[in-house]
Amino acid sequence: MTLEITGDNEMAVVMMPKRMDAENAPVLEEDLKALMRWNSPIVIMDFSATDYIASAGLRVLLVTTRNLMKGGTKTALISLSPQVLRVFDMAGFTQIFSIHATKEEALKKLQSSG
Amino acid sequence: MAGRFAFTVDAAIENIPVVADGIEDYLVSAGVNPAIVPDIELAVDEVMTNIITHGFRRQAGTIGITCSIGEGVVRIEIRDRAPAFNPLLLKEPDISVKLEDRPVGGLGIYLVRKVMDAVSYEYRDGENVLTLEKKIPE
Repeated sequence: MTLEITGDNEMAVVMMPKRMDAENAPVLEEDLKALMRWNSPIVIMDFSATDYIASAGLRVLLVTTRNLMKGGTKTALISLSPQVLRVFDMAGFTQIFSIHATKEEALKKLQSSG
Repeated sequence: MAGRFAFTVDAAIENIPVVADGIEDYLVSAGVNPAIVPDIELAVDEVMTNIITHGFRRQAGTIGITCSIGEGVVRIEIRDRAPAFNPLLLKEPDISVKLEDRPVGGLGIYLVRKVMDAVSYEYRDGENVLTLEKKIPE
């Protein structure tokens, strides 16, 4: 798996994989470290290609987002499918992550929160 | 509608999607409402992940799965010969705390209980047996 990350000095956008489960979690966690090196103030995680997430995937998100936060980076999640959103909701992740329908909406929110 | 679907796989992470696909094919061909398939896939995934990583500690082993349909319920029995362990005794994670303080573990079995209607554990003939039940919507 190679994650596609695009963006500039202001923001990085990462395309999350189709599945986020125990099978790809170790590789995903490693690949997402590239976001730390990117060092932009904002990271957008795009879930439009993700149709399945299990607890191993949730764990990777938690670890990655926490590390980004420590480095002063704000994160937002966009384009979650109904099934992925359902798992987030059950795990209480909708309370702790900034989740939006589109990139524009996410940016508006992140930029207004200072 | 009756019948059952039983198989045994090596306890390996890469076999989880194979099992999930097998169960999905069985349920769909049995005419079960496909709306419940993602929940069943998630539950089986979480249980197998726990058995492989904690039960067998990624050492060799096998996992037996039996899936049956009856009385409006899909029933999935998952068996292993790892050391006896009842995952239902695990403390539930506190999902109300903020991101910085959220523990990273313990979510798997919590999700299983959320998506299933009933989950039970027994240690029988040297095997851990976890039984998952999901009601089939009308």
